[in-house]
Amino acid sequence: MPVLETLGGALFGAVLQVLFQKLDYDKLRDYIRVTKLDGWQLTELKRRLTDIDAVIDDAEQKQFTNSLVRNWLDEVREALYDAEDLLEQMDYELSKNQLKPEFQSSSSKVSSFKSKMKELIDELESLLNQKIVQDFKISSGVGSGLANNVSGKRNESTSMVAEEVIYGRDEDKEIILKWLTSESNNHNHLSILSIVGMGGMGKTTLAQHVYNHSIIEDKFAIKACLCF
Amino acid sequence: MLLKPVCVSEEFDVFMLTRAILESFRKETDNSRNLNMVQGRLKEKLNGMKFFLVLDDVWNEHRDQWKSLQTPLKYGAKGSKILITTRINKVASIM
Repeated sequence: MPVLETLGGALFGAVLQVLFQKLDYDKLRDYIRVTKLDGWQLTELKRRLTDIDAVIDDAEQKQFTNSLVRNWLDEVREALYDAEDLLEQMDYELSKNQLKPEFQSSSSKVSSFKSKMKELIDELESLLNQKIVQDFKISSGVGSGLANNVSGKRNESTSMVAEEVIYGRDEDKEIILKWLTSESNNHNHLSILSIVGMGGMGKTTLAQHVYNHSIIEDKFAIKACLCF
Repeated sequence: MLLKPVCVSEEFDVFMLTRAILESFRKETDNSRNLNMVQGRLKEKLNGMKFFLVLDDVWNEHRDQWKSLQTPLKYGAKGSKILITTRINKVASIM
């Protein structure tokens, strides 16, 4: 049966996207240059984040069956929030300094940024070096809609339809609408689609959108909705 | 038309749930007294009808109960669909 995955992708995707935006921020580079912070660090940080981004989708998929992966993701989440924190602080310092005639940050601030940055890079590096990461599949695209298609048939006589697993959020609704209008090629079987994901990921919202879509009125004689 | 889901208790009871589904389709209450009765009514209601059913935030992992719940739903017309949201991977795999 088709399984639509809408899990943490939104969460990690959003955090990573924000971080990438900040890392590309030209002024942040200026800040680093003027304050003699190590520009290399910024590049290194970005490289680590790109690596994390490449495996995060698969890790999120695997967290349900593997508690080690779940722990790993928890640590990654912490590190990402730390990264966001740090970049925000640098952003703030920058905006503060722009108001002054001379562009100068206190040297204690700068050195604290420097050591935090190093800590962060080391942390991400060690997370990436964990053995578990080798098992993750690499998905393409950085900060994009990340859509992979993995399908496998379940060898159960009772299963209603073939299973299809879809990652990514961008195409979710479209996939559901397509599924709604598709004619089942098996007469005796009910067509069931499951949206699987952690709480608060927008599964219900997605289902509501679909339920209220005009396609339902057009294509179905009756509809019903139950929440648990 | 806004989504007004019928909310059912966390306790998974095939009879209660089937009745809730029937009520949601009918948009009126049902007074079935047992599973047989409510399954019969739901079959009758859905017979040959193309229906769309959303089951939001499903937790139950028992295959037998789901099979029992699905029995009357199979009487719907070809093309009928059920959309489920769940936090549990296993739920998706047993449906």
